[in-house]
Amino acid sequence: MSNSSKEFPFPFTKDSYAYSNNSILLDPARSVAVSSHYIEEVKLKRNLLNQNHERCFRALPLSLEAQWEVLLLVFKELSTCEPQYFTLEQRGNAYQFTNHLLREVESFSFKDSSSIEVEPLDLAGRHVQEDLIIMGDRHDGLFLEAGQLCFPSNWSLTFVLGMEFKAIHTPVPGITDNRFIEKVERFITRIRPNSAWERKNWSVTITNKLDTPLETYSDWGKLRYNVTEANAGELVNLRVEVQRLYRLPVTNDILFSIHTYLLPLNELISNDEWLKKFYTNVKTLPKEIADYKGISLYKRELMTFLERALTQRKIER
Amino acid sequence: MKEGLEKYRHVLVITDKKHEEKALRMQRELQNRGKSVQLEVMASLDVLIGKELVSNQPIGRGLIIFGEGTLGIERVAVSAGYSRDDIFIDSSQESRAFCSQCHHITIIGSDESFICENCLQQLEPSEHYSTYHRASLAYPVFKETDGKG
Ligand code: HEM
Ligand SMILES: [Zn+2]
Repeated sequence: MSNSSKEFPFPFTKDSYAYSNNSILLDPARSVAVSSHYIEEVKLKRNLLNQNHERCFRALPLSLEAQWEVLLLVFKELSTCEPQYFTLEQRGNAYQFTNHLLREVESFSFKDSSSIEVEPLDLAGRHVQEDLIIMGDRHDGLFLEAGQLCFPSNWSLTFVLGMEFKAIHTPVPGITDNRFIEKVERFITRIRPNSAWERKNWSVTITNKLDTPLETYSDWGKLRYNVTEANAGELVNLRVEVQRLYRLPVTNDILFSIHTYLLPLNELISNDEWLKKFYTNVKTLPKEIADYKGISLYKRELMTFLERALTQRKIER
Repeated sequence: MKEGLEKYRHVLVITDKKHEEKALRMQRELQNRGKSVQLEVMASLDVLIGKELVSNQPIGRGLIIFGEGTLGIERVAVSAGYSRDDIFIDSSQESRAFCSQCHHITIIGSDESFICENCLQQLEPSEHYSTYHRASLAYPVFKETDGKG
């Protein structure tokens, strides 16, 4: 089994899929995680940030306080939970963060913007694999006030900057049915200080490309036409986002982190349980959701590929 | 500014979210002319809320309704005592479309596909509306042959 398979957060628990608030409370509360792809993915993030900064980082000025809070939270968490890879030293207001995996040192004075070269959230994000979003918790809702987003699944950070939680979710089919998204928002506003919740979201990506922003959709979106029964194992990747919601105790804002994992179907199908669950979930996926996730274009080829694998492994459908 | 509005000292403006920017421009313009303006924004035009709003108005006010599906509110306004001459309707489609490829905003006159002025991509506006950018997100349109060859 490869590292990718071992670490892969397989998302399906039932035989059919529906949008739900599948969040669980994390104990201990964590906002980020370090996987075996740490170095390559952090380097990829930094390249994307250097080449397309406006696309990958956006922040409203009022988010600065929360950005500092996130920077310290993430660095403290890394040094406490992964002391073999990271250390943080403090002398009064001066901090020194050492990233032993990348052999780098960051020195800064807390809340002194002149002591760092990029904004605090941007700096924090350059040391983790996650995309990091700050949702300001205001009296009239949760607003997207800052984000470092390198690996989105077909959305635009620039477009949603400044938008309210419910409005951000407008494109998702059926999201307002039974007041689903309103209930999710209420759930988020009730998260207690220093608590973290985690949920998984999934989609499918063609190739192992992590950076699939809406801005370059006209480049990568057309790959969906290339899927055949023969190449699906290699080309089609199950994409899982482990999303965490962390209540910042000082500003009372929410840190939303997204850690994205990809697994090519050829690896996925070597696990009988995964193969069967993935097959039944995609097979019974409502058409609007399949359209939204971009699967409809090649669903027939994908199903044939999975059915052949099931037959080969003598698994009942 | 609409000629007919000149005579009112007080104007009630009702708008849906999509036309909010236009309504705001109108509010500023009326205020610049010394009029008092009450602006009411709703997600989409709602007859029940509209009825509540128009019923509580003193007579002799002007009413402007911006948005799609104005007829319901027009009717409750008439039954609440507004004369048809006091009611001004603007349902025009002109809106701002945010290019999802290059972030440029193009002013468009219909909900049909258009070409971004900046990156020249063929785009289609959507229902995804940002009150921050005051624009709707426009997605690229794939031609049937794209990527197939
Ligand atoms: C507070 C932080 C969150 C942010 C910033 C956020 C943002 C987004 C964005 C930008 C999208 C893509 C929309 C598009 O296509 O343009 C999305 C999709 C979605 N979100 Fe959220 N979201 C958050 C939390 C949640 C939570 C807590 C839930 C549910 C419990 C949720 C449920 C969903 C679902 C079901 C989709 C569709 C995903 C798919 O089918 O691939 N979101 N979200
Ligand atoms: Zn453009």
